[in-house]
Amino acid sequence: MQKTLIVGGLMFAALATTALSGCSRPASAGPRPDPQAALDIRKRLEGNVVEAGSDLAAPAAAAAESSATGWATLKGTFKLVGNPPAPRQLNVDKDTEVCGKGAGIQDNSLLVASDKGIANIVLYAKAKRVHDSAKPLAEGNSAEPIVFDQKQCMFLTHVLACQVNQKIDVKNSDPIGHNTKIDPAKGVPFNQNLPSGNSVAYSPSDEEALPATISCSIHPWMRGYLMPRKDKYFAVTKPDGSFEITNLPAGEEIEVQVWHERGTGAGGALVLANKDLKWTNKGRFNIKLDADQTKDLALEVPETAFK
Amino acid sequence: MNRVAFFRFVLCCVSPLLFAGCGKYDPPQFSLNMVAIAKQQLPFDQQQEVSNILDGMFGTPDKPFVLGQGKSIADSETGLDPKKLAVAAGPVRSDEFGRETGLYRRHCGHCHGTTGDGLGPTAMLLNPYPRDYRPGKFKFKATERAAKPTRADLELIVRHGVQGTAMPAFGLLPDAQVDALVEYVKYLSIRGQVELRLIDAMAELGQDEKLQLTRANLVDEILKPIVESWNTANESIIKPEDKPDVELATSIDKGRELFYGTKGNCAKCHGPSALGDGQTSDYDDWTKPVTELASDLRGEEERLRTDTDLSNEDRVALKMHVALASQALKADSLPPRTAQPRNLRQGIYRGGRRPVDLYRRIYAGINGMPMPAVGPASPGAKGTMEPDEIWSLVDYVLSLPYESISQPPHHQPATLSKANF
Repeated sequence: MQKTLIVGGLMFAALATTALSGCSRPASAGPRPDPQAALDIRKRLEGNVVEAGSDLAAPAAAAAESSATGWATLKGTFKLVGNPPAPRQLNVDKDTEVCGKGAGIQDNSLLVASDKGIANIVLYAKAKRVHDSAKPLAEGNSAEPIVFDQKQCMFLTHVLACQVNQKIDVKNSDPIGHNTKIDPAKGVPFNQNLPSGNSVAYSPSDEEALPATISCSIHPWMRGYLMPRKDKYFAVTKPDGSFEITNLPAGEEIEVQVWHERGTGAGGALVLANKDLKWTNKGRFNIKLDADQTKDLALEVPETAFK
Repeated sequence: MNRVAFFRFVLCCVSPLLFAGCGKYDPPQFSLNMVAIAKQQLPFDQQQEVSNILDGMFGTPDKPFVLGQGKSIADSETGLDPKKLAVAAGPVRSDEFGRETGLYRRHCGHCHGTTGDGLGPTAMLLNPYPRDYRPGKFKFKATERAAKPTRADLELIVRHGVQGTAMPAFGLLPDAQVDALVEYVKYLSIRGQVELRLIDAMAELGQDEKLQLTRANLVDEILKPIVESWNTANESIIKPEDKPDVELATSIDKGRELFYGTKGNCAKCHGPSALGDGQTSDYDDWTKPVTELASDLRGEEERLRTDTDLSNEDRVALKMHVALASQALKADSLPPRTAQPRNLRQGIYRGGRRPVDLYRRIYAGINGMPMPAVGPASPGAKGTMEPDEIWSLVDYVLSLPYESISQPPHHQPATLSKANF
């Protein structure tokens, strides 16, 4: 009888497994939509619901902001605390007769000066009121083009911040051919063949939340970044780690985004444990400046902020 | 109780289980783009919001929806025809007149996936992987690099397939069915691109800020530019200048010079013998988010192991993201493969073998790929090659499969006979 029970038990287990397998829900990643919430959104977008609240509240808020006047400057320095991480190994295996001649090709993803200043940190501010000198550029503007050059298989500008619609002259000063590929998340992508000595025009079509990668498909170690913003409230730290953004509106809450290509936050956001500025894990802080104020920030970056 | 009766009893108890739970139709769901979500580190409530908005704007795989009910198709927000979508969507079936619906799931879904993410059940067996429509980038088309394909481009791919890949030719489908499928691919692509924009918009929000679900934010800001790019594709068709009247041998010689020189740079990637072995370590734009997320994940795991100063709060946050990222990589991506430059000696051209197809490939490059453009980057700008030079390159590339070293070696009867007897 005991044997029968064991056999029966095994049979039961086998059949139960068969019964349950194959009935699993279809694989779908992420949370399933909430039907009622989806329907509400649909009604709203179809215009069947009069939108209340946000639109009515907006002008009032704008009126409150517009009463503020005056302009201010935000500046500061990023300094590394601790030791810079070891440079990455680059595999320079192509066109070696040209690439990295002289100084050689070094990993420039994290440049720390002798006084621990950190270069190539990008900052931009989101402000409601915009000073005349920082207004967006129109399409087809006559602003002087920025030259974005490459020599000995390195981009001469590693991180370039500019305004939307700014003309950029993508240039190749090498005796060999390159191609330049720019991959913005929102704007028009670019990937042009660049014969020796040639240049091709490009201008970013949209503002981005984080810098776009610039690369060369022929020489995979070549890497640069482009940060296009509509208004002129951006800066890239100099080799000594300093930056300055002028003519920011005073009297309003300004959000500042900070980025470095090796930042550990999402998309490279630079996350500091700075309690005074309430630095977020998205690499942002808010600041309110007084008219004619020059706010100077001394920012300490621990080595763990870099990946 | 004897043994037979006992077995009967067990069988009676168990057999209903075999059928229980299998009868209910559980409609398939669209998946979220978890790789993009993990890259932007969206918290769960924002993932839920993205899911709700997409369902509101686009419906489900069984019941697709497009905004602008009651308006004409041209006036509607997406420009998509709900009737065509209804034919392509839903489960596979046909009515008493033989009219078929569920065409996408019948012909496409097993490779391209229900969501159009290129993650169907057969996808991982294929090389190259099936196209993921969600980034809104298409490789083989007649338009400028960054432009969307035209309707005719997509129809051509559906009808003729993509040579050298698993994409078969659906030339036997009636025109109306091809038309419906193309409409559905557009629908999935627009939906996927809206999803990516939504994820980015969520990531841009400040602390405690919520995305206002208004027409201005969702339709005007996100949906409209994407639809606009589809609607204007016809304006960016590349129309090559006539081929100059040059002797073929001369043109081929000129093409060879460009191919190997520093002007064309072709050999850098296609290799010194045009075998496609010059540069094989790069990834295409569909794979890059996956490789980047994988590299982020490795760094985070390393940090969890080595960084002893992490605060408890940071450690929990890091662990949560590690879990999200590894799940996304496991369930929402395929093992990354590098982009392979084409072996030009085989005479297999994925985007079509007509000279005009090759001209457009060289002129605009291949969208989403390392292959760069030699034509102007924007209308009115100057490219790095003249039309007659592009035509010479076309002639040279088309001549490559006919060079003697491209032919397979002849077998040698003498050696064979020695081996066999």
